[in-house]
Amino acid sequence: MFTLRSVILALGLLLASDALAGKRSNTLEFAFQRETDFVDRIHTDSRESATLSSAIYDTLLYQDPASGQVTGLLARSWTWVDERTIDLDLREGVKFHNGDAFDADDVVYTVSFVIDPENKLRQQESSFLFVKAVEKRGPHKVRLTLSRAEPVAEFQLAARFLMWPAKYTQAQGHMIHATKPIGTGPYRAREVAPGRGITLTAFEGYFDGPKPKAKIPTVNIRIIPDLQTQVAELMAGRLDFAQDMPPDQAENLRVNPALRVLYGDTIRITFVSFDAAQRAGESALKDDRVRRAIAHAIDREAIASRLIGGGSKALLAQCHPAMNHCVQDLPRTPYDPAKARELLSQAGQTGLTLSFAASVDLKTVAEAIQGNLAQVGIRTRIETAPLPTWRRNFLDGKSQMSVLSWGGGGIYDASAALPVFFDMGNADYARDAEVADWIKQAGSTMDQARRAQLFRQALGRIAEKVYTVPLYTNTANYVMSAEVDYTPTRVDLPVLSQIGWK
Amino acid sequence: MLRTVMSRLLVAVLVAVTVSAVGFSLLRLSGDLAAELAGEAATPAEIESARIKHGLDRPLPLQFLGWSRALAAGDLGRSLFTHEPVAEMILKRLPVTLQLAVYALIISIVIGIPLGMLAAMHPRTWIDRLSLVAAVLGQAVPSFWLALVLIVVFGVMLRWTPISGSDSWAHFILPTATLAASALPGLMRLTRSGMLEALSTDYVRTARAKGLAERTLMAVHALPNALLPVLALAAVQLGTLLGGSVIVESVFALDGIGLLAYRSILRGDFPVVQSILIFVALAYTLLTLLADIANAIIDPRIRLG
Repeated sequence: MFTLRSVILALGLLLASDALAGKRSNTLEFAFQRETDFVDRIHTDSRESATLSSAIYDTLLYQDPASGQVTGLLARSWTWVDERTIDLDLREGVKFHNGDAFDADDVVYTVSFVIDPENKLRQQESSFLFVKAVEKRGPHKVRLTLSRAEPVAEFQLAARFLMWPAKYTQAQGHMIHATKPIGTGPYRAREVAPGRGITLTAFEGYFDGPKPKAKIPTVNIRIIPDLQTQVAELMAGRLDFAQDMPPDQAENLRVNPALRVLYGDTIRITFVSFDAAQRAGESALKDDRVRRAIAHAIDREAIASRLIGGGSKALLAQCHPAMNHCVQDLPRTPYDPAKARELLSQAGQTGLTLSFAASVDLKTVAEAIQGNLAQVGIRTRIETAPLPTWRRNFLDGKSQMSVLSWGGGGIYDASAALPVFFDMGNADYARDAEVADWIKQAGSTMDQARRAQLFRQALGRIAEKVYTVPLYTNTANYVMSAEVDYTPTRVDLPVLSQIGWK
Repeated sequence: MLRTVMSRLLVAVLVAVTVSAVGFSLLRLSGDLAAELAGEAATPAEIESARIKHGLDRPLPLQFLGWSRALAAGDLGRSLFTHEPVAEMILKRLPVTLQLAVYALIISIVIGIPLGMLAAMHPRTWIDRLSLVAAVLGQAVPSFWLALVLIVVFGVMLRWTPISGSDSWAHFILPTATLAASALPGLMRLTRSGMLEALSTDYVRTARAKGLAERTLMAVHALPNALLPVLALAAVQLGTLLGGSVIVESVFALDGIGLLAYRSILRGDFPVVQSILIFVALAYTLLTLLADIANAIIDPRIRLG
């Protein structure tokens, strides 16, 4: 006999049945918080496009997300002919998702496109323009001629140098990759619905290489802007994978037996920048002793372990310890409030008040530092703003003291962390010509011993003069269904083809 | 009437111009569009290059004039980020927002008018007070909070409804309920006051004295008169719902105009934001005008002008 309860239950099942996630449906329901402008990392460069690009496309070289080491991908091997010439032997037998065979013509077409300044791609100068020319030297052989000595060229070739099918792209126009992307990657795009999501299906013809083949047949990526809604979807079992939850939220989800919360290391770092060069007007931060006092007053270990958590580590240098040439044996400023007070007294700065800027996402870190500084008698006025506004103020030279984070494009080299903040440009608040020169030289020589020496000099001076206070390594969190099998890598974005079922 | 309609249309255009000028200024003062366009890991030099490439180094009034000139020629422009034509972006998402607004309005009317009638028929009783409490709550509760409560109860605990997305009609249940909760109180209270006023008129009293059945009295004499202002409010509410679904669409990940506006505001994609602002302003103004015309047609005592 029908009861009201049974009717309601049946109706509920009918309504909810269209979105079952998990192993049973063999479809991974995956959430993005933001929509990406383009699927491919040639047109844009964001975390979302990087996640999708690594699934749909392949790059010439491959950076192992766990070790950071570079190996061949679409290029089976490569040879440095001289400081400005690289010969690439391309992998044979590789097919695009539309059946086209991959060869040197595709590389010549794609590289010619990305190095053409007329195409005005985002971050074209730093990502692509170190390549001056590309030349076909055989059906599966190409030569790249560089415009400058580029010590991190291999990392760059593994980042945004993904390959398009030449014939398809020429016929349809390059914008076709926004809606109907075709690559050689482990997943093919079945449907791109701007604003709603993307459905990927495993590419059966994917070659045996260093990048794993797809483990789950279908991945349904949904755009869910609100994190609370993502949490609700996870708890209701209609979402299998989400990322970048606020730390407290992620910790709360740990108690749910149907979910797993994992943390991964990232190459991103967070630090405090001082206006040593007095760009924002005259202040006590001109004095080395005041900057050193602030460094001694900040309890980096506590911020890393208690506030950030998830394996975050206190930094010893102005770069990530996993980066090449990021030396760690530098002058240190350990947590020592007594020493901080002594230095402030020596500098004649008692009752000091400073303005302290932070983007909204770093407000809690700024508040923790504010508490530390209050203990040594420094008052701070925290000024938070959305990231774009904060960034504009920072670049306009209006920051007396800021807390900021920097990812360096995922390149495992000190040159990814330093030049932006020490090049005498808009983001440089130290304006130390020698430091800028050392870093510039390190970025333009292929001699690794010389680079090591130059970076040691630069990092040593930055630490000695306390131009910054390196705080901690950032971590990424991933919340997933207990049925999902995934091991976080050092790259702070999930590698879709590494995700499987338990 | 034609003169009045024309002058109201002119007002609509003026509203659109004002809204777009204010929106443009606020949007451009709230962040650095060049930094957003250059991308997350862009160097300061690349940000400057993006500023020049997109003409963002020109004075703001000149940028606004350039955009307005293109608009006057019927070109809404393209998104600065995806390069999609803005008109296409809006048209693609309009059905979701329209669906949501119309569903919410229907629910508000279907529940709000009978509740208002009921309250008017039983003034100063528990029914009246209960409906008043419901109206106050509906107006006072923030929609994002109500949305989350509905999600937790019906999506997570009971698992009766989908939580996010716009794939099926079932996906519209919770967003419609959330949006309707904000539109319902106004309709209910207006129906109640209209009915109370109608019930106290001489013609209703006369009809009652003649022994007319209470149900007929309500349906034939009181309700049609009470519903006139409700009709006008319903049209205005539809305009409000069209523009007011930003929060609801972003919480429930409904890919409508509201969510598009939210995303575009966050990154300063001004051609998209401007076009949505103008669309909503025009929709609101025109719906109000339509309500006035409908009122004038239904009630001969009302004359436009």
